[in-house]
Amino acid sequence: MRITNQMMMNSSLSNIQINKGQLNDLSTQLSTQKKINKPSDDPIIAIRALRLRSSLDQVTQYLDKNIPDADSWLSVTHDALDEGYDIISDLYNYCVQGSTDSYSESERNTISQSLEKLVEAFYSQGDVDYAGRYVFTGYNTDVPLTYQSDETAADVDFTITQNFTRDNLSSKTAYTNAYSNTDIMNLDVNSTMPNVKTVYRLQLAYKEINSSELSITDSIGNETAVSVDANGVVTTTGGVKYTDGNGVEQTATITSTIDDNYVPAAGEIAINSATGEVLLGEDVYKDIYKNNSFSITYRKDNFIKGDINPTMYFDCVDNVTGIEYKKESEDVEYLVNFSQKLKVNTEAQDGFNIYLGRNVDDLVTAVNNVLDVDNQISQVKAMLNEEQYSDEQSQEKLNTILEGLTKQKELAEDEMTKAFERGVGQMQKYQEQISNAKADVGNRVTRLNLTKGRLTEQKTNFTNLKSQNEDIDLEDIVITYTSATLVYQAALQAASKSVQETLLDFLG
Amino acid sequence: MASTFFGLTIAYTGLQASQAAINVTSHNLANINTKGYSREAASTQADRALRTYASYGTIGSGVIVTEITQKRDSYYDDKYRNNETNYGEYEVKENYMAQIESYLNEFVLDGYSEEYINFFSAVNQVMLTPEDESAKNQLINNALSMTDYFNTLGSNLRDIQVDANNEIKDAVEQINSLAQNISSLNKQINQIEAHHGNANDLRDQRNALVDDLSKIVNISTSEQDLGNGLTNYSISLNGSNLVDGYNYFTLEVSAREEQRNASDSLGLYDVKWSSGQPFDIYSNSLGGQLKGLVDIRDGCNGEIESYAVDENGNDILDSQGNYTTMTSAKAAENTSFKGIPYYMSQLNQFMQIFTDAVNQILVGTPNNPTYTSDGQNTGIPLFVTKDKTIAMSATNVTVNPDLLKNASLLATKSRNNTGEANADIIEELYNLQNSKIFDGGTGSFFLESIVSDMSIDSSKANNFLANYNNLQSTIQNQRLSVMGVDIEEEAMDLVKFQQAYNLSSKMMTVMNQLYDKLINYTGV
Repeated sequence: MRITNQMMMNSSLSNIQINKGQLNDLSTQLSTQKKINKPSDDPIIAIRALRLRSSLDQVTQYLDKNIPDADSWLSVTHDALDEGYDIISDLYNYCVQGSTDSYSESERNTISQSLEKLVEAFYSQGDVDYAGRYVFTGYNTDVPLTYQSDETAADVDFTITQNFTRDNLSSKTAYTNAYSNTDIMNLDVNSTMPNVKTVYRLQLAYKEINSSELSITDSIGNETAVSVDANGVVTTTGGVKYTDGNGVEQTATITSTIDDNYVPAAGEIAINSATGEVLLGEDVYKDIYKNNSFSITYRKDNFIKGDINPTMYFDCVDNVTGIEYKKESEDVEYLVNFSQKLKVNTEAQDGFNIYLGRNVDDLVTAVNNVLDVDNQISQVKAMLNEEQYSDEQSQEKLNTILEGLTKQKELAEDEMTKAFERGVGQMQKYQEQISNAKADVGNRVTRLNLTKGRLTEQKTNFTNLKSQNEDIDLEDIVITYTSATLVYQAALQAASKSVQETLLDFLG
Repeated sequence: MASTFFGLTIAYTGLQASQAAINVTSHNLANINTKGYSREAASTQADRALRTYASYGTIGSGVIVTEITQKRDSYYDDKYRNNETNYGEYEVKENYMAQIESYLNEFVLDGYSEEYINFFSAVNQVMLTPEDESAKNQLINNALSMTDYFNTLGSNLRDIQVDANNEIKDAVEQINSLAQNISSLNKQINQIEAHHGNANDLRDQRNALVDDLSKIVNISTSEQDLGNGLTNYSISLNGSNLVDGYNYFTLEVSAREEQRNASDSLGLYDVKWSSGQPFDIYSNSLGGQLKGLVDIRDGCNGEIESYAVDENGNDILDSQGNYTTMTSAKAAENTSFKGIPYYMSQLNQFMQIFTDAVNQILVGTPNNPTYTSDGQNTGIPLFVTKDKTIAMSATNVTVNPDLLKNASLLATKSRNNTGEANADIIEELYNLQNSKIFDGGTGSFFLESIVSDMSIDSSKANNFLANYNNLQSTIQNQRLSVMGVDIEEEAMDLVKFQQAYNLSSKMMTVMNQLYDKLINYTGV
């Protein structure tokens, strides 16, 4: 083939161009530290880089945001439950002491207050927040467990539905023929000595309920709408059924009472709205026990500071907004790994039993009963020394009353001890419940830590893969670059020689 | 017996021939760097012998220069031009793909994949703290940042389309001008060659113009001998006559009345023959820069993007009542290349699917509305169109201004009787990240595949250009091997012809001495 100068020049130039291109690529790689500069340099590396970056981003999100957040949330929860556990232990100690050896008169005066303070402290643990979000109130992170002021509580008006099973049935003691303060002032002597009678009841979660609107539903769905007016007159629609001792189905009689010592008849359901109790006649009680299902819907509109928000425990209807709240489990879940969710919250009902306060109410009532009788006894004793009761008839009456009151005090003290005994069992149950909740949180923290460990490893992995995929191996590139420079210089030199000289240089 | 002065005449022809050869050499050297110049050579031939009526019969009568020929092989010309056509096509594609790539360079840019990730990272934050207005604000602003990015990307791509469109007009004008020049050269060449002789330099000029033309569009040439030194040189452009002897035909552009693809810029050019004959720019056999430009400007992967309609011709609207687009296969009326309309339609498709899915989640249905975290309001769409009269697209999408004003209007839950920590709607939104609603893949997969399509095509354009560039230099070298001027060769020729000239001059001297002897000293 004939070779012309132009051909040599073209070849030299295009070779130099190729060398320059290589040199340019390598120097770009050196200055960016990346294998490629644009996707078309190597589409596979580019696409893989995009995938790895997006995975790495997600892992970082889980690791830097979601996990620390979940961790803090869980640890706040754990601390609050711990505190709650300690408070129950204090309550438990009171109960143990009260059950073994009855409190002295001076202690009795302060004990109710101490118990009530502990209850308040217990539920206020349910108000703890993490970064302004209440942790025990399910999805309602803007709402604390208890009402924080009388003002906020004043606007609250709920219709609450409580479903009961046989486990919720309890009993209380009613005093028969007890002396009231009026009896003492009028020197009314009872013909029979005071005594006690067991009354079955369903204790509602709240006292001081509004009994103007109430409904009772039995196990087979018979519903009675009950309305009690200001004078205690009861109007009912529909009827709740029970089976009497002879196996005959009867309709329960529904009454309303304000007497703490009221004893209902066998087929009677008596509502005490002040104490939040539904007293059950024996036949009704047996029917509920047998059928294991009963529900009561009632309205409460007189909440005060420290009361527990009922929506955290029961199905409720807000009578102000009309919104229906269904009590379902509300899990606040955080995504802590690719398609792995972790529940971070603990709901109030799992750690803070609403009946703890009601049980303590019973204790306080039992203590107060003793205190009341004590007062009555002191009053009678004082009256015995008064001038106006110095006549024999009065003295005799007072002494009979005193005898009755002494019996009554024995009964009350006995009842108080029993109440504390029951308290021991109840507090143990609540301790168990809260420590289960604590253990559950602990387990979740463990799982979170495992996930965190795995993610940290994954992150390192992704980072390595990403680097392997797109970062240059510096030594490699430097060596290649050096040799490319050498080649480039050689090409320049060769070109300069071949282009410079012609035959003419040698022709004379 | 030959004439006494015959030798002098022979020496004279030698001098003439040598001079002609030296002139040709000089011409070659002068044009050593002229583009398209082919080396010329003087052809010599021994002159007719004279009968001398002597015992030896005839005697040679010197040399004549028969013609000046050019060294050129039309086979390499054809090869070169075919390659130029391919080279031209990929040169354009490489250039434009590099521009497209610079806008879609997700590897270096914090481009739409980054925007997409940022959006979902904000969604994650809202999922953690759904009541936090600043988290919602961030989500909405990240959404805005994403739509802004898509807006810019879409209008940048459209700008590239306008550039390509303008270049198509330039290419058409260049074709017209070249055709005119070539036909005029045809006439000049014939005028010269009719009087015997070769119009070498004009032919070189014509060849150079045809080389240029072959880069713009695919052509084939033919030269028909008409006798008497006349030829008819014709060029056909993709099968139609462009130049026929002294006649030439022109193309012209006219702005389209209607958009071809829904997202096209307005007023793109169609090409037709000035005679009114149609010109098919989507012809499969078209090549050259024109083909490259048409592919970039109109290539939609064999499809056309149009407003979506159902079988009854009614508009298909998305859940929020926005117009949508769809692509339908129209291979015959389009090129299978993935040009600007393809990337636009992909971005539009992404935006339509993404915004519709997000809006559906955030708004719910009339029977199952969504609620804001305070339970006060029902959900409103996050993405809306800027211009309601045209379809939801990458350039027409924006964030609902109501949400920009008040972030707390963002729906987070499906039931208003649950508390504000309920983020089931936001969780659904987060899960969108992994739902395969984009042509069977996830959103990031879809976006990646746009990058992948682009980078593969760009890389292909690079490689093809490099290959055709190599071929170009190989064929050019082959051509130069025949037609190129070589310095050594010419130097050698110069020496050779100078020596011949010197010797012929010497012959003159010798003859002069002979005549001197004969005339002045013989028989005196």
